[in-house]
This record gives sequence, C-alpha cells and structure tokens, in this order.
Amino acid sequence: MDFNFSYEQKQYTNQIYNFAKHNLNDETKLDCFCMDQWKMIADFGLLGITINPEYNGLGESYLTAALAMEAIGHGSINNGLTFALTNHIWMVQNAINLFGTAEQKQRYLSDMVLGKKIGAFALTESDAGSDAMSIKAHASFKNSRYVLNGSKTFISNGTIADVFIVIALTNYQPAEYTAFIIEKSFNGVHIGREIKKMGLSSCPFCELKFSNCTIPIENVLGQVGSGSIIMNELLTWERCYEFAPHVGAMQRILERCVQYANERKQSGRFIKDFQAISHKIADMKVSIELSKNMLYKLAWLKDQGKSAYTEASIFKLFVSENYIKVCQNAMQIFGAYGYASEYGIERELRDAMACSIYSGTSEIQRNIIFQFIN
Amino acid sequence: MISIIAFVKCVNYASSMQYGPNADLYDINPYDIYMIHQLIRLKKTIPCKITSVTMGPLLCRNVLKQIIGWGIDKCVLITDKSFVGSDTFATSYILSKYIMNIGEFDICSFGEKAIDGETGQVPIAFACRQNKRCITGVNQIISIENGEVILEREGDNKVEIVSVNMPSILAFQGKTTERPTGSLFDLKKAFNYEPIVIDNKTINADYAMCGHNGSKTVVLNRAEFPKRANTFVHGSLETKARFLKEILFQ
Repeated sequence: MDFNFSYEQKQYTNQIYNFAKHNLNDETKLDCFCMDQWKMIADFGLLGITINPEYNGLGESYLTAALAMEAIGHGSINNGLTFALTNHIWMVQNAINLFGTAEQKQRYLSDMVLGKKIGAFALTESDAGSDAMSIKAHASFKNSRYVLNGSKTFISNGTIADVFIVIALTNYQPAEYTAFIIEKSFNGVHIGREIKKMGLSSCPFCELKFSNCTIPIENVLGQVGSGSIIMNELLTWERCYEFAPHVGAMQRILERCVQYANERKQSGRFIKDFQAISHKIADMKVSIELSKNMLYKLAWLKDQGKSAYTEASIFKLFVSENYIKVCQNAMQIFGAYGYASEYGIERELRDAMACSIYSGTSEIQRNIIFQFIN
Repeated sequence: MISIIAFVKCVNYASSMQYGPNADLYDINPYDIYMIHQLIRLKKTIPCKITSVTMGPLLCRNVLKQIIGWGIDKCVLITDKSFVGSDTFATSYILSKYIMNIGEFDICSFGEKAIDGETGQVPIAFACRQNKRCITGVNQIISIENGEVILEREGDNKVEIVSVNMPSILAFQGKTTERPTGSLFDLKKAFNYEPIVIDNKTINADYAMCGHNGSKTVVLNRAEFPKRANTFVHGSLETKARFLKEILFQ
C-alpha cells in the first residue's frame, strides 16, 4: 500500500494552499458572500477540479480533489466561503456531472465551472430535516412538463444560486422522488428571506418557494423516480467532500495553537510546557491524522468507483465531532483571547458547530453506521 | 496582443537565497522572479503573450517548467556547448541573435542583475546591440496604451512615472524568492510542458563571439569569502521581532 502522493498532487496542494492563504483571508469579507472572491476561485480553476476538460475542468482524480479541498480549508479562514464552494461543487455540479444527460452537462457544467452560475441543493423542508423522505414538495406532470409546488428551507447558497437541484415527490403512493434541475429564472421560483445563523456568515442560507413552477421535462435529473437514489449518492459525496476542508481547518487551528503556546508565557514558562496544554495539542494532532487517513481512503474508494456510503458516515461523524472539539480546545488554549472576537477563535467554533448538523446529524450518522454493523 | 520576451537566468542553487535538501541544482534568479511577478500582474489586466527565454545548460529544463505553472505562456531554453563560459558581453550577443531570429517584439524585459554575478550589464549591453535604450530601475508597468508603456521606475533618489514607446527594453529592479501563484490550469500545463530547446544551429551565432572565445573578461583567480555564522529565524513576524529585539538589546 503506497501512501505517497504524486508530484502533481503535492504541487496542486501547495498551489491551492498558497492561493487560499494569499487571496481568501480578507477579514473584511467574512460576514457576507463576496462575488469577487468567487470569480477569483473560478479563474484559479478550483471549481472544476474533477470535471472533464471538455467542460473547462481539470479532469483530475477524486483523491486529488480531496487534497484540494483539504488545502483550501487549511489556507483559508473564510469557512463560509469554503462551505458555499463545496456545496456548489459536490452537491450540484457533481450531481449534473454524474447523473446529467449530455445536453444538461452542455447547458450547465461549463458555466458552473467558470463561475458564471452558482448551484444550490434543495432537499430540506420545515418538517423534513433528518427525516428527508417526508418532504412534501410535489411535482405533477401536466402538458409535457412538470409543475412544482412546495417550499424548501435552510438552503445553502440559496440567495446567490442560479441553478438548483430540487428533490420533490412525483408520486404519493408508492412514494416516488425525482430530482430536478431548476433555474432561478423559471416561472414560479421565489427566493425567500435569508436566514441569520450562528456562523458560516459568508454562505447565505434561505428559504425557497415554488408556486406552480414549470419545469421542462429535459430538466429531470437522472430518471423519474430515481430521486432517492440520487439523494443518497449526493449525501455520500457531501459527507466526504464537504468535510475535507474541515480536516484542513483543523490543521490550521492546530498551527495557531502551537504558535500561541510557544509565545504565551504564564508563571514564567511557555504554556506549551504545561501538560494540560500540550496534551490538548497532541489530541488535535491525533484527530487530524486519523481524519486524513479516512479522507484519503474515501477518495480512493470513489476513484475505484466503489460505494462508500457507510465509510462516508463514519468519516463525517468523526470529523464533525473532532472539528468542534479542536475548536473548543483551541478556545481553552487561547483563554480570554480565544473568547474575544479579534483573535478569530470564537468564529472558528461558531462555524464548526454547524457541521454536526448538516449532511445528516451525528445521530443520523450513528443510525447509518449501526444499520451497517447490524 | 502584446508580445513580451522575459529573459530569465537560472543560477546555481548554492548562490541562491532559497536552498535546502530538496532544492534543484539550479534555481530561478530572484531578480527575474520579481520581474515575472510584475509581468503576470500585467497579464491580468492587458492581453499579452509572455515568453521566457533562458540561456543555460540543459539541466535548467526542469527548473524552467515551473515558470509555466506561474502563468507564463511559453518557455525557451537556448543551450549550446559553444556558449559555455560566456561573460556578459558574449551573453548579450547570443540573446541578441535569438531576438534577431524571432523578429519583432513589443517588450523585452530583464531582471536588473543575477545573484551569481551582480554586474547588471546584460540588459544594457543587449539594448546597445538592439540600438535601443534600456529603461532600468523599473518597479512596475502601470499600463500599455497606444503603443506606449507607462511604467514606474526608481533612480537618483526619486520615483518617476515614465512612458516609453514600444518596442522597449526594460530592466526590473527588485528581487524576491516568493514564487508567483498561477492558476491550476497553468500548473496542469506545466506538468506536461517541455521547454522549447534551441541551439546555435537555430540562432546562427558566430562561434568566435560566444563562450570563452567571445568573452572580453577572463577569470584569473577566484577566492571564496569565509562563510559567516548565520541563523535562520523562522516563525511569525512576532517571533522574528522578539528574536531581533533580544539580539539588539544584548
């Protein structure tokens, strides 16, 4: 088993880390989405890392993409922007790449890779969170097109998106779900209020409402009735690649803690010399190394075309809970400075708290893992 | 589209500022890295095609590939056994012959000097051979308008904004070892890129004017300066400032 990365992969990692460090750490742009930064990322080529060069992508492997996501999390403090990016790439762009027809790819992929169109994935409803299958949004087939009615909530990128992947019921009994590609410009699409939240401020969340939204039949993603399969597959990708930047973020926070512990003196000693501090840092390192190994294995499975449903749940559960723990420990190490906004540690914790909720809560992940074991 | 020729030198790593166990034998001259930073910044605002041209041994090939990853469009390596031992006089001749070979250009740019020689003569000697002036001390190109290059230069304790007609020959002052960060597309291009290698058969330089034969300077003796003790200070700005404070107030 060769754990080495190729020369090209190392170069990509360094380039992306340097790009993120120099261009995506503007502290004045942490509170809201910034289109300039999005365009910069698109011009840099990060949006299409696994997309075929035919659609202006780089056509690299999923392992290279995992390293890329990790590097951007490592380099950039803008966790919200990273979250918006991973949503766009892995929940929408990747969906069209995997399940779209040639016409759909032609129509959407290039523009998405070039940063001209932003994507959002719409599944959650006010009464359908963990119980995703109890969604009520319904699309009926009339006059050679679908008519969608319903609403979605907590939609990441909702206010800035041009293209939505929407999962809706197309039959009640038996329950049948279908995925649709819906453009913002379609009749009946209403972008709702932005939802204020605890963290990830530069990624907008909002409600969506569909009132007799007409969808051409060409905009069915995959087959009619394959919505639940597409949803499960996309959630696997989400659990892997939306959490890859968190592995990088943990590394970034570890580096800050090490630097601080080597500079801060109390009782005449650097605080790194107190075991209470050094053990916390050691625990961070353990979390990071194990997360990395799981991430690379997941990416390898994807490159092999193998299923990674349970592995993704294990990874998501481990990374989300350890990321929060790393941020909490960082706050302890920084003390009052960690609690103060100026040092950014409290923002890291506020951003991290969401990850035990989105992509399926930690409780749901434990259910999935147990089902696999049992 | 503006055509820019960027002359880049590969220097031996022992004299380069950045070296370590993984360093290549050759590295890009830090003055030329600064120049490339400025040209890539210009490329983001004005459509231009940048070709880097290096005179050096074949060993430089791999080092030059990285320039493509920074955003340069094309890399040319001029190499020939007859060029070995060329001083600044012979080098400027050979580079002139290359330019005569390719024909027209809009801008020829140099780093002010190379860290393994520091004479700073090649840009000026090259310009003489082209019967043009060399604008030295260039900090940055501000814009290109109506066939004129508007640039900022430093000299005689002042900073000037000057305009010069194209084709122009510029020598950038400033040095850095920080590599430019090109796009991932540039990086991917660099992985598979092979610099265009040309020899004297292509540029047809007079052998009597190249290498040791063509050099006006002869190295009679060489002595190394004794190495001084040094310490690299790593870490944040704060760490470095603390270290310097301790040294200064000892």
